[in-house]
Amino acid sequence: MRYFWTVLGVIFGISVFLFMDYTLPSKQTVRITNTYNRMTDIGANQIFYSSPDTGTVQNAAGQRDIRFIDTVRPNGRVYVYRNEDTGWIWPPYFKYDSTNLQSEATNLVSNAANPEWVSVTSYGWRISWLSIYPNAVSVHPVAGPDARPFNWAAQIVLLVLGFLLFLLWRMWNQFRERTIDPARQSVDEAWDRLDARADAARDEISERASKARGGFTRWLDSWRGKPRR
Amino acid sequence: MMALIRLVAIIIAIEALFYVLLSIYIRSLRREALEKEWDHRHPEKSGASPERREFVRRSMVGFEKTLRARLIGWVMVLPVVAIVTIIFFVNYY
Repeated sequence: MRYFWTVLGVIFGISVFLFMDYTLPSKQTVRITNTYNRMTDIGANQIFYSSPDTGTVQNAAGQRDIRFIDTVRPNGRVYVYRNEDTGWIWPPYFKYDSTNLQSEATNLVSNAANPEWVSVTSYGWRISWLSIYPNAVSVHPVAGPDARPFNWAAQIVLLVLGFLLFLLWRMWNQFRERTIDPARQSVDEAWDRLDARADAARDEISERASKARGGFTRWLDSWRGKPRR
Repeated sequence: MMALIRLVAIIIAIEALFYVLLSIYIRSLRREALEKEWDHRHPEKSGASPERREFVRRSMVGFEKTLRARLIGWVMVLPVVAIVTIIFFVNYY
């Protein structure tokens, strides 16, 4: 049973980590090489795209005309972002300027000979066999390929979540200390009282029984003959 | 439009939940502090007693009007401020 709970706890921890890793913003310094939109099939990987009613419009065949941003990382490997509105639903980025973002990205397109490095803030994962792309949220020019702007947004969100967790923990402790424990104690006391009363009742009954038996025995004795002299 | 209304409904529900939880929590903290205060003032009558309950009850009158209790109202405001900040930084910065 202990192993079961340990395994469950580990799975829970990993899920929380993956969820955070997917949802929190991350920054990456890249060079934009191309921006375009492409009809994209959306099937089982739908959960990794924006909700149908807020992201890009989806046609009857389940395709969306999604905007993409092709980039190259400082190490020379490529990285592709999608650029979709998140709207008013999950994840709570409230992004509705994907058209502006696309034109900003287009404005920052550069080639290898004359590179213009930018920091792209995004959330999500690039997993090629699932055909999923991180969603770009903002683009800012940076000094060079080694620039690593501090990820304020993710740190603040983590701090707020940590504070909320701490608050809930304190609230639960207060509730347990002031409500659950006294209730349990009073139940215990009531049970003890009940127990004591039952004991007393049992004692009284046995006492009465023995008294009655005493009376009966005396009465029986009165029928016996007097002790011989 | 429906999405926005749904967002507002969810936010208000979460805020209301936290408002209730927080107000119960700070009341509980205040009551505990008052009980400790009573025990401190009357060491010979410390522990739960009708007098202490009466003292706590009378001291809690008007608690909703204190600054501490009113500060909880920010729980209805701060998430909205956070959302507006996110909207600003994501879309207009």
